[in-house]
Amino acid sequence: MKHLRIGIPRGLLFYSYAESWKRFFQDLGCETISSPETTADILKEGIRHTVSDLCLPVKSFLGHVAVLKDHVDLLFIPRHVSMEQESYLCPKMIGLPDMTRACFASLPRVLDPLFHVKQFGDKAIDEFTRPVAESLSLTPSRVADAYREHMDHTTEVPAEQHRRSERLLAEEAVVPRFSGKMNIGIIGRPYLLFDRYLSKNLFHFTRKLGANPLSFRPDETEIREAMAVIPKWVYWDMGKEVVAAAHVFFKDDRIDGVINLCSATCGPDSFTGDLIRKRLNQRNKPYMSLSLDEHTSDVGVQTRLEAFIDMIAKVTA
Amino acid sequence: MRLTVPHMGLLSTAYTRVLRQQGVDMQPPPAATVKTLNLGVKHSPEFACLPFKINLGNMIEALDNGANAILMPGGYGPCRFGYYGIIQEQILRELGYQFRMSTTDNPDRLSDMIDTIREISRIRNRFDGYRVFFLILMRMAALDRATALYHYYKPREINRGDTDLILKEAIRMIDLADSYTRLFRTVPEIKRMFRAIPIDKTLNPVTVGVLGEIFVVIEPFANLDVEKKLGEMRVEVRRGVWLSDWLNDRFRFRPFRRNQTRYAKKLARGYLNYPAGGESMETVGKTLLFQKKGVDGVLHIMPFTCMPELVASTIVTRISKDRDYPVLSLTFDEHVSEANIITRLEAFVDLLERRRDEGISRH
Repeated sequence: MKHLRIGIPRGLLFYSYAESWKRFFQDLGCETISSPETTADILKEGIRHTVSDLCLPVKSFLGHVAVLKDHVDLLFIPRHVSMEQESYLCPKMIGLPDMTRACFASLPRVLDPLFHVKQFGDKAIDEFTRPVAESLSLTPSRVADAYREHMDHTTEVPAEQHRRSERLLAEEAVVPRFSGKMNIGIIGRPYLLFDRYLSKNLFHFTRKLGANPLSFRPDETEIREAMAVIPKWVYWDMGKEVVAAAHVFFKDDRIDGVINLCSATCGPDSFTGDLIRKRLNQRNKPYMSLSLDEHTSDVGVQTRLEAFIDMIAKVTA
Repeated sequence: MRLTVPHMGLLSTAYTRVLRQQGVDMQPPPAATVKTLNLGVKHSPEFACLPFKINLGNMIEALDNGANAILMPGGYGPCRFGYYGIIQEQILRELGYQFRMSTTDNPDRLSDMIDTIREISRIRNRFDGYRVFFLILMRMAALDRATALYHYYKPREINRGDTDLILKEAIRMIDLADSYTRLFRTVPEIKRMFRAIPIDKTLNPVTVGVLGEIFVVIEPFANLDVEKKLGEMRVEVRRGVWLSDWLNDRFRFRPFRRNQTRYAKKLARGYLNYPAGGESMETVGKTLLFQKKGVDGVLHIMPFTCMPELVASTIVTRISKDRDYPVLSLTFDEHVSEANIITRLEAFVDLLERRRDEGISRH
């Protein structure tokens, strides 16, 4: 039998789960194809298909769909609603499969299983894998087993697997921590941070300016500690992680400054940004919020980065 | 303790008098003006949505007028609304205001709401709590009923402004109807008043369904009074989102009204298969419903950067293309100008009229 080619657009949750997804589908006997790294053309293609004031990462995602759609049998655009009991992803990610269908006149079949821990609890994986099993004509238990093997074991704790796959993608970020140079903590959603084009190569330019960019994904304990400092549990999965990462960076003496990279019209970040700036930065560490949209230029980002690093150098000197 | 609650359409008219009778010292914020908006914008995060900014302005003005406690409903997403109270409190404290902040974190649970009402009033038992709460809901439903009558009579009125005066009077009467008996007597009275307006019976107005994010739809200040503007253009508004429906879906106080959220979900299947928060489902489902019902076009309104409505807007654009159905999407923020809105509404209405003349729309 010919392998089914499954397309995974390189955008949004790809940057968190791609490696696990790939292994998952390969185990099920499918071939996975992902789109190349974001380029100006891909983004332009996305902007052409979107209709409104959508945010940068969603536009880019749709550009990746446009690149992939004619080369695959099936598009994998899962609908992740909640990763944990008390959380949600942003509405645009919840509506992502429907938005994608709405933006293109012709698409291959879209595989959009629902992942919703808040509603299904322990059954979330079974709910997620059932439609996958149906469209691949496999038994549900076979697919669920593969999922458990390659993704989470418990639905509530982000598995090491996730973290590792993320770091793999984030090669840019894997540098020795605390190397003696100026250390800049960079926080933001994985799909912006680790997309070289969208992030305007922030890690690279930070390093070029002689500073050491750092980024990590906070674990359960770190999230819980950060949530204890703010008045209310942040109910967005990724927003929570951004806040927790900020909390860790602000507390750590070895970090000289923090940059928050976000998309200009990001809903959750407009609020968490305010929390981070006012609640978490108790020691008044140099902090810069860099917001991106399709009009942001490399030079603009570099100039602000230079100014930020110069400022820190003056303060610490 | 002087309590204030930020405005949401006519909701404060529904509860202020009732709660005052129960011993709550209510200080409703002054009706929103440009000053309110400017205050809100000045202190809000740049990309916060319009309802957040207007509500923050409401709070500042109410605190300046002597309020010292704020009640702000909360929730747990996925829309930003559930986090409003937290960010607003932080901003107000930073500005140096002293006040007590309460949030009801689960607006979907009836007992939570009742408990909140009990906590702040002199109501002591739960039964009385329910009685008062349901009276507020019924008053809200009556206000919505009056607004729907307004939508029908406004384009047909012969003397300009008649309907606006009657609506104002109707709101005043509902405000005064502070018991179930009085309310039940007032509602037919209001219907009679609207029926007495001299109207052009031959007019068969163009109809426009109004959908979108609930705050912007029901708050004339936020949407630059689009419904009145449409009425003045001799267009009959069919509003698809009502605060009383929203409340009814949660608290089932109108047993014969169908659950609108569930209904919309059924309608939207195929286009939006899972609710993306806010009114996304209603927007998509009811756009399809309005077309089926022969409504000439849909006006979809939302605050700038509203996440759920951006999903809906993307999908509604597809529906419009697929089914040749006119949809106008308008985004509202602090920069939107009246002239811009009027021009676009006029162009839209022209289009609808022409389609009707050409026999494209079903009439």
